[in-house]
Order: sequence, then structure tokens, then C-alpha cells
Amino acid sequence: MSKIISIHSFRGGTGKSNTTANLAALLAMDGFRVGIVDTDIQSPGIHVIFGMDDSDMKHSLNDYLWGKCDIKDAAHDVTGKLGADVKGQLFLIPSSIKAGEIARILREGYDVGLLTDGFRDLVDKLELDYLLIDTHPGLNEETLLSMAISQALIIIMRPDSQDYQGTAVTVDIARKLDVPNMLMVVNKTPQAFELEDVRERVEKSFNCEVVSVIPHSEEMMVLASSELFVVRYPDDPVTKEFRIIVDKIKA
Amino acid sequence: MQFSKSGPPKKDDRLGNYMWELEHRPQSKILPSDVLKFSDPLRAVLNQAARIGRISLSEVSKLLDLPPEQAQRVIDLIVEKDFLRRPSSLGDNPVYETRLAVRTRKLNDELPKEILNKLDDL
Repeated sequence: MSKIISIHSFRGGTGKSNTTANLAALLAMDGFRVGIVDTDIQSPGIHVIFGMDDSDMKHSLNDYLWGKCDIKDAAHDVTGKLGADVKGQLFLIPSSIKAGEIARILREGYDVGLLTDGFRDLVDKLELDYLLIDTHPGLNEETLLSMAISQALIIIMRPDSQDYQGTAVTVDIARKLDVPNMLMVVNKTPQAFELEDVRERVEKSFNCEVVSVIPHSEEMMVLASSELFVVRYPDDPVTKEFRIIVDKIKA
Repeated sequence: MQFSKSGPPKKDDRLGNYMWELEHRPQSKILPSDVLKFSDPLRAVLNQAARIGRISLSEVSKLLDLPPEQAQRVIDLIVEKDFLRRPSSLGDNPVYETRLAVRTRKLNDELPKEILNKLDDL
């Protein structure tokens, strides 16, 4: 059975898109058919990790939401861009990076309900095993809807006091939405912190399991979203943490 | 069913409470974020319908612990609130699909005019 998984953070800058891209890549490398939807329509970015720019996007999620195309037409096969041996297939549905189209979204809004129809269409038409939704940070109608229809929710936070408060809100809402599987990930953990102490504190704060505490990585910073971390650094401790999350998704 | 003048029904009136909640929590249609406002097990019904994309009369009946004819009344009201779509054929155990599209809510319509004017220039 295919799984829809939302990746969410209450605040920006948690590494949500990078985590989404790397998890999707690992799943595709394992032989699964995987889709990523960039629903961060106001500030899209995940396409950069796959080396895409405006000229590569024949259609985007925006076109689908405005009724200009079927959502399948906005799916770009990025399997070849991974630069690795991939047994499965990876599709990206990017959001438009044209300033005028982002402006139109800000001005006119869009029918968030169309997203759910689109997600289900994508899963069916592309025969996906996993659909990963890279959500907009914070909470709005779209992020709530993404959580509501997901079989799993990955909540990403940094060990930062602002993140702790905001994440508590997200966890509370996810529980009210009966999200079947909630996976907590702590990212960008400073080297000065004991990873196990962070895990314990977060688990105690939110009363839920922390799947992974990912250490801050200079290599990730230097890579600067120019390519996929798990491909470039397959044996890095951060890649091992991504692998743990993937195993949990597959379980 | 009229509740507004007499207030919420008694606690042991399950059907009455579900109907009252559906009538009063969201004033008009049920939007995805409105689901959070409902109490269990009504919220569980709406969550399951949203997550799976459909829900049957027997599932609603089980979740709400109501006989099918009473569960049907709850479903009818959810359909009226535009969260579920009435199936073309009813049968013994009709399956209702969620209807989340065609319910545009602007993400942000409070941008200052000068910013909107600048966006128009893009």
C-alpha cells in the first residue's frame, strides 16, 4: 500500500527540504517509486537540490492548482539527476519559482482541497510507493490538510527554545488529527550537545519517540543544497541517520 | 432538528450531541482546519474520511456507536456541510467520498495595498 508522508517543521530553516530530498533519494535507491511535492508554494526550494531551475520546469504545482494541467504533467522524473545507482524512480512536482506566479498565489490564494485530490491522483497515476510532501513551515490550511491525509508525519525541529514551543503546537495538532505515525527528528544539533541528552529531552517534552538526532554537519553546510548529501557522503554519520529514518518509514 | 434555542442536548443523547456539534461548531461548511474544533469521536470520523478519502455508513456507525439509521442522519448533515459527497448509488452500506476541493480559502488576503501593487509590477 502506498504511503503519503508529510515532512513538516513549525519554523523555517530546520533543513526540512534537504531532509525530504535525501529521504526520497534513499527510498528510490532502495527500489521504490517515490514522489516529492513541494507545497512550499510561497518559498519553493527543493528543486535546487535536484539541479533544476526555471527552464527545466515545463509545468509546476501552480499550473495544476490553476487548472492549467493535470498534476501528472507537473511531475518531473529526476531519477537521472541523483548521480547514483537508483533501482527505483523519483519524481519531483516543483512549485513555480517565477516571481509573478508566486505573487499570484499570494494575491489570489488557491484551493487547498485540490491538493488532496492531486496527491491521490499522483499516487495512482505514477504508481508511487511513497509520496513525500515538503510542506510550508508553520501552520495554515494547507499544512493541516497535508497532515490530515498523511499516513505518517515527520516533524523536524532544531534543539532551539523557539522550536520547542512551536513544535509542541504541531505535535498537539497532529494528535488531534489522528496522524497514525508521528516521527520526530531533531536536526542541526550542535556538536557541543550530547545527542542522547537531546533525544531524552525532546522525548520527554513531547511524549513521543525521537527517531533521529542528526548532528550539525559542516559538510552539509558546504554542500549548500547543490547536490544530495546521501549520494555525496554515503558513509557520513548524517547519512546513517537518514537511513534510520528511512527504515522507520518502511517499517 | 432544532437545538439553537434550547442549547446543547443532554450528555447521554449521543446523536443529539453529534448533530448539535455539526450544526454549531463551523457556522457554514466544514473546512479541513475546522476538523480540529470537533470532539471525539466525531473528529475521528472526519479524520478518517480525510485521510482515506472515503468512509462508509457502517464505519461511521461503528465509530460513533450509533445504529445505522442514526449514523445516516449524521452523515447527511456532514454532506450538507460539504465535507462528504453523496454516492451515486446508495445500497446497504453506501460509501461517501471526501469533498475537499472547491473550497478556496485565501492563504493571505491581508497584504498591505502597497505590497500588492508592487507584486502587480512583477
